[in-house]
Amino acid sequence: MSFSLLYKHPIHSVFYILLSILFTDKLVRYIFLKFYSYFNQHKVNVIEAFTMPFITLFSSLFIDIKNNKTNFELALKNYYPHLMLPYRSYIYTNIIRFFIQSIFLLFYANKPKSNSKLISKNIAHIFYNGASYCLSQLRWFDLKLGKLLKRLLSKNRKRTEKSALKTMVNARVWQNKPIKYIIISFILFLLAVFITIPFSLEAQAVFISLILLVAYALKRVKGQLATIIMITLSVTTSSRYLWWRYTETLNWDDPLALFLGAGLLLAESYAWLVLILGFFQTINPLERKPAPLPKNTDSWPTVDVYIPTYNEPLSVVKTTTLAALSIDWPADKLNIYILDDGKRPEFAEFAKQAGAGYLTRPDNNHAKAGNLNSAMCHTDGEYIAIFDCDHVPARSFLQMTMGQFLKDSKVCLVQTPHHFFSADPFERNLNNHSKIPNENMLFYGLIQDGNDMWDATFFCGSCAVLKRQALNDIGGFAFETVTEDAHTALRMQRAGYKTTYINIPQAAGLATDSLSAHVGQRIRWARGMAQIFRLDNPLFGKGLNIPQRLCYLNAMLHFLSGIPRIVFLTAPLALIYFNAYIIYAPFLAIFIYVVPTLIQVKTTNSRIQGKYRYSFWGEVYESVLAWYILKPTTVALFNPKKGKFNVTEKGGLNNKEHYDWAISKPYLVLLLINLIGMLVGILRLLFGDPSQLGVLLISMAWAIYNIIILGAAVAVAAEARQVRHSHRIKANFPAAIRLKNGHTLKVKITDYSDNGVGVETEHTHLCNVNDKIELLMSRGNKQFSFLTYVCNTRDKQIGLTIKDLSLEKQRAFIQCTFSRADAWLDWQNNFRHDRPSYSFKEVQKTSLRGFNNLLFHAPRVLQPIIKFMTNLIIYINSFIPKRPIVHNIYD
Amino acid sequence: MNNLIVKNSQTLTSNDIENLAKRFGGKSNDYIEIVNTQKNKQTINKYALLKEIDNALKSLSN
Amino acid sequence: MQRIFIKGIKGGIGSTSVVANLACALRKSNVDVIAIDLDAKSDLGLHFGLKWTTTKGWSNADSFEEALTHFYKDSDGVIFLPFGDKNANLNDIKTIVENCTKLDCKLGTWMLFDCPSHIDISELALETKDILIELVTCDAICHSLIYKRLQMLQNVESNWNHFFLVNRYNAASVLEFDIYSLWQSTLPFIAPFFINLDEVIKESTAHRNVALNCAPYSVANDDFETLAGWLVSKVAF
Repeated sequence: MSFSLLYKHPIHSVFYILLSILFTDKLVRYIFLKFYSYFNQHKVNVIEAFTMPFITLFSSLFIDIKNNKTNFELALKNYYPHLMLPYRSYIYTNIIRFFIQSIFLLFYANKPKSNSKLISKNIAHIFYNGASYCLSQLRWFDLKLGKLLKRLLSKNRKRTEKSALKTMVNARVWQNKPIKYIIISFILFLLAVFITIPFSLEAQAVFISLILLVAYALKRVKGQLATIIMITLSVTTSSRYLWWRYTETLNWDDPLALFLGAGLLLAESYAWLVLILGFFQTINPLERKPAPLPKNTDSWPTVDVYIPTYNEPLSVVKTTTLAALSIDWPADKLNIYILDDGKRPEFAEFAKQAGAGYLTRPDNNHAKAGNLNSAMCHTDGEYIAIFDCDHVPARSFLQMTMGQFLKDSKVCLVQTPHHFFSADPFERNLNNHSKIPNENMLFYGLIQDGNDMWDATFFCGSCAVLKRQALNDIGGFAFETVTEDAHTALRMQRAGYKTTYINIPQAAGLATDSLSAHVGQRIRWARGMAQIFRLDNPLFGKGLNIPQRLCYLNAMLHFLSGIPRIVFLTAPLALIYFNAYIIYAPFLAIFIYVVPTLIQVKTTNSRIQGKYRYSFWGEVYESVLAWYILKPTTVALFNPKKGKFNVTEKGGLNNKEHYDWAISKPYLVLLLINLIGMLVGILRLLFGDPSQLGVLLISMAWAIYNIIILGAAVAVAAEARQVRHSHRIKANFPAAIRLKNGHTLKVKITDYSDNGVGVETEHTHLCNVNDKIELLMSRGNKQFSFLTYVCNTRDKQIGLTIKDLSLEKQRAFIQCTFSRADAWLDWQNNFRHDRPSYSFKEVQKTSLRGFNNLLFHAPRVLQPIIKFMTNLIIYINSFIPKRPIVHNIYD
Repeated sequence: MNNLIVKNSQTLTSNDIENLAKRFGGKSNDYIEIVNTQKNKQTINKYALLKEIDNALKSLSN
Repeated sequence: MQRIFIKGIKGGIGSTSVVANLACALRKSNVDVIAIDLDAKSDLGLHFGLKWTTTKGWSNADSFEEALTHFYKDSDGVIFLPFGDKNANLNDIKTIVENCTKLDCKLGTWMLFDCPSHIDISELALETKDILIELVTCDAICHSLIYKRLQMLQNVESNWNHFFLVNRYNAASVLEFDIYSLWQSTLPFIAPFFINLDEVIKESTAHRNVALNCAPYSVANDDFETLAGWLVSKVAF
């Protein structure tokens, strides 16, 4: 301590010296530190500030302040987790909270120490042990049963089960007609007995539980035969259920109940019919393999590729055209045509540059079908491939498909799946892209393969090749309906041609970009199907075999799902509101018939469709569309000539997040009456007739299920924002970049779009925005170089933009990315098999999200009320005692 | 040394059509891309020296 | 022992740096590698970090016993023999190749020969399991040389494995792209990959090392590993 300091801060120094006599240097420094901090920062007066450190020091002689302070704070935090911070600003409410919580803690939290808790703990222990023992026994039994069944099923047939099925199908017995009919009629007779014989409730319970048991054991058994057994069981139970419904459950005394009940029964019959037809359709999917082409390319046929467009932007058509131009097929046998109904000069210009044909016509009659027909007059390829202008074909498209035509001259159509690389409105708005299989997947993954088995593949308007001769035979593309594609296929089938399907994604495109557009598209399909039904009925017309008729019937029925769906969504309310017994049976009977049948049907469907459609999601998709396809199908059924072709708009942007109130209106109404129904139900539970308890509970459970589904349907209407002009496609393949200084680095392509690429380097790179970089991408061993500009950088990531490439280079770029033959292969395999419980949880989550969206997007008038209500609930909730936080000692 | 045998290039992608064929069948093994054969003719015609060599070779083999 | 002969189809194609990098890549997977410089430029040593003042090599030796004293080992463990600064004729080269082949070394040793471009391969007495890699670049001269070589191979009884490998490939050049595409689908004996043009290969020599050690993230690194892997799989089958 120097004297100059003494001179500068006399008081400080004097105190310092005095204190130094009494305390160690460390303590002195502590006292001064504390003093200054109290005095300067906490604005405490001098004396207090000076005495405080001494008090602390003094008390520290007796208690370990440091530890206890943290302990106290921790304890406060653990036992009173909901006190508002900082404590002092909410002092009064915190006192109330503290008080309530203390009382709660007295009665609740101290309990674990008491005796009763210990006993209950013991009991719980014993119970859990017992339960787990039982479960393990059950599991063991389950395993044995499964194994036994497996052995039984494959006993006499050493080979795989599929071949078992084949041996059964091919067995010589079937060649003898009388025996065949006898066996079939015997089976039918047995089925009829099982379905129609009236059982007592107990017998039904035993019967149904036996079936469930068998079905449960079959869960583990893979293979076609087990699936067929499952289907048989489902057919039996569901038919039996329907029989019971028709014979025993209509209340003839109460006209209202009879009317409503009959409505439900009709809806159920519809569902049953669709179920049976669905089973029939998908019982043995063909899974066709591509047929090899002859070695000599001179014998390959000539193909015209049509790219019809009407109002889509050039950027969309450009990608498709360039990809079509690089399809691997002899150039003198491949001609690409842009069929522009918009008649835009810039398209003609582009076509000329790129080396594609450009066709227009004087009028725009008959929309797409007319466009295609007029193009057929100008070209002369033996085959015609059609791509909607937003479907980018893979290089291998023709080589994968054309073999079918050469193998069988009767084949007139090869269809490939429509794959979408952008999220459809459902996926985008529910944020489950590539987590839950989308609406399309069931159709292209399973149903088309099933149809193919019965020679009933539908033409889907794009990503397909057709035979010109077949088209000529039926007078060109059918233009009488708004779904020219399905109608054309139907006509060709009538003319004796075969349609085929290959489930290899060989083209990918943009999904519809808004829910209203999506619904619009489905309305068109529904209307078209209804029109075909009226104008060219596949059930009764000439030229089709029975399975084909059934497949078409199922497709049509699918679009009539509007009314039944709405019936199901409102059915439980009949009992709640009107006390109408629409299922006129005692509670126990309903329970024994309905629940097991539903379980059986759901598990069978989950087994068949599991990879392509998760349980319960079908209901969500259907519910959204139900109201909208109801009207057009009905109108078209009565007046098929009405209604015109509307183009599905794609590739657009949703600039703002918004809620499509217009489209969700019908669901809001349904939701509202269901919610009110729940309230009424609760009131009736409390004050109503106790004898109705069971039925009421079942109705309410059903209503809750409906509310969940409707919630999910409502969630779809909240349109998410779509920011990018061109969709980024996730990727993972190797490439290289060459920097300006000549260094060439390995990179991985993480995503791409039609004007950019995202790459990841192996170590932190030194690139700056706007650097010019050469991107080296390859297609097999062929390497291409593209000049790119860095548009953004992050640690190991570089975003590259592609600008001003020549057409040749653009083509190469598309070949390396969009039109790689294997670009879309893995998309179908990304999904696990369906697990109904998981799937239901997802639906629930989505549903909650829907309710959330409703509140969030509520009209401005309602906003303050909702805000007030939510704040009120949060506020009240903050007073409710909380469970103390228990830290796990193993943490 | 064995680790080298399984080494694939990290800058080149695998051949897409081959991948497809492996999974689904439908193409012969000794397959040359059709597009290539046509492109080759163009390349040979584009450069005089290449054309000359090509012609000379053709006349030799005949 | 596996013998690999590497030569450029003409001078200045970069065969020495390919030998050095390939040796390093092979060495990294724990095999013994011996690299012999048969080129009178005698610059292979520089790639392996040999002192500039060391100019002596096998050409200076009168006998093979004496030549044995000129073997060196680099920091990676690659053993190499520089050419030296005396003249050597084709016979000398043949003798040294024969003598090196007779060397008593471990099973599975790789011996790489950096051959000068003008040498007549058929004189070297190659055997069936030997691999000869002729490096080419994608230009018209190489195109012409390749077809001349193919004609020669037709006439000569050639039983070794002959390959053409493209070095310093630059896809940005239209000519190189065109020519390489042509070769890929028409040329027999062309290796199924290529060595990319990479500044790192030149730079690393300036830093007295090989690209493999200098720039682990570079494409050159990957290319040489691919080359080594390809050779290993060729030998294995």
